[in-house]
Amino acid sequence: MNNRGVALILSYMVMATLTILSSAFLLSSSTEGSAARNYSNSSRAFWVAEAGMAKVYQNWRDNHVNPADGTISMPGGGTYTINSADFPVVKITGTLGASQRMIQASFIRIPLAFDNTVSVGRNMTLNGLLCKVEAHDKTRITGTFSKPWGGTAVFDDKQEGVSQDNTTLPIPDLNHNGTSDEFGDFVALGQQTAGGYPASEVVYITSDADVTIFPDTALVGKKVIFVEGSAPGKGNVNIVFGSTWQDNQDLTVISTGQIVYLQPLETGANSRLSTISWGNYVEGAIFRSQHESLIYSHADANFVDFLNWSELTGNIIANRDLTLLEVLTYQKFFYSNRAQNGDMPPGFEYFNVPSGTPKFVDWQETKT
Amino acid sequence: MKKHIMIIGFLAVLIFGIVLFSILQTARLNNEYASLAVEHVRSVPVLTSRPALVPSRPEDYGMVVSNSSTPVLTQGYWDDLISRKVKNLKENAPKEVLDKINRNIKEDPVKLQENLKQIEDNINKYSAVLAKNPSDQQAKDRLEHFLIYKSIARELP
Repeated sequence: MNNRGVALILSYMVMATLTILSSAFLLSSSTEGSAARNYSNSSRAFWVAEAGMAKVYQNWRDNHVNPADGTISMPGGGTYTINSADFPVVKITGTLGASQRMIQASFIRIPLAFDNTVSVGRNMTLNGLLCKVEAHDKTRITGTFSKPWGGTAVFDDKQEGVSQDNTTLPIPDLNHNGTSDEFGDFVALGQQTAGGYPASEVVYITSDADVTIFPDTALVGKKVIFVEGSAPGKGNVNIVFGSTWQDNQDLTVISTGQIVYLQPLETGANSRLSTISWGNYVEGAIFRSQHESLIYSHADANFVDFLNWSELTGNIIANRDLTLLEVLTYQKFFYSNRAQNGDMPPGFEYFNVPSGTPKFVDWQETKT
Repeated sequence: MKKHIMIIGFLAVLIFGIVLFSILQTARLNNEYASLAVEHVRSVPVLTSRPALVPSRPEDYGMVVSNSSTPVLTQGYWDDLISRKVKNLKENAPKEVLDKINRNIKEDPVKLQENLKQIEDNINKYSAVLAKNPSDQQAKDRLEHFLIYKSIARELP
């Protein structure tokens, strides 16, 4: 064995190993630097998006300025891009270098009427000799309450003569013609609501006839039924018994005509069947009825022909009069704070009235 | 000496392996952050317009369409329709919901008869109003509601 030959081989091996090691460490530290930069940019892009969201929300909340699409540069570097095509959903994309992060949230103004159990834009009348009404929590009436035929009325907290800001919901200028609260705005509200949900969750019917809805398994999971007539008062809807009788349903029926709800029995756990009508809302029942609903009528709300006691949990908003007629037993109204807490039924998110309480809801970082 | 070469060789391969592993890991991490950024760039939805609303067929959802300009639908029509709907509901509704509904509609037979009489009186009342003035839309609506109530009273319990 030649020891000098072995030493030469060994020294080559050591040199080769050291060369590989040093190159590897060089490469590794360079890649780590790149990873750290990407991570830092990604984090900063996120906070740029957050800062943009805070700025846009503050401007909307305090100055009543709706977000305008565009890209804004930040003084510390980076840009944020506003996408408000789906308003009240606002999407902000923060960009820094090659990194982008997107967040979204909804800006809503919870109408003051959602704080009441019963909201009446004009007068409330109890119009039957043998009738009794119980309204829990707040009842707010812009006009007066009367019971010309007697009957019994029990209110937890009733105020008359309050501002219409507290009792009515004008329809925002959704057709962008410069005037709000018109029939065209109502149609736009229905179309935007229906168009804002996946097609699989929407039933859109164009008809000037009367449409009668019964509970049906084909309606399970639906969010919106919009019956659009060609003129005010067309496309009336009758609802008999409810929509599905299943648990966890949150469906809103929208009609350009009147909505009549007969014998409400939508009693599935955590289920809500709400209505938005340009015309009157009418409810009646011959057996005891129970339902949770947010009822909005741009016109009157009439509770008629109750031959047993009936319970409505939620909020009822009549822009004009509310009348209880020929109610032989009880009509009870109970308050639900779901809408006030931002859990609004489909369609009600478009009532972005300026006087409402501003809320920032449904924040999330999105990838899609 | 041979032993030394083997040990050094083994150590060299081990170190080389560790370094290679470390490089690959760092590269993976780097790609992850880089792809995170790229993914966001690609996935920002650009909504140029809302999808057009496609009208649905009411009959696909068990809805019934009737023209308000037609005469009042008969008691037989509502009896038949509500009988079919109630049968379908009782077959498909969850047991807890049905139990709750059954509790709600449980009615004293005497009270039920009283209610039916009320309904009948109203049917007669609004039929008479309509006979005098066939264009009275309010009377037509009320009559239709009482015909529906009568069918409900017969079919639901």
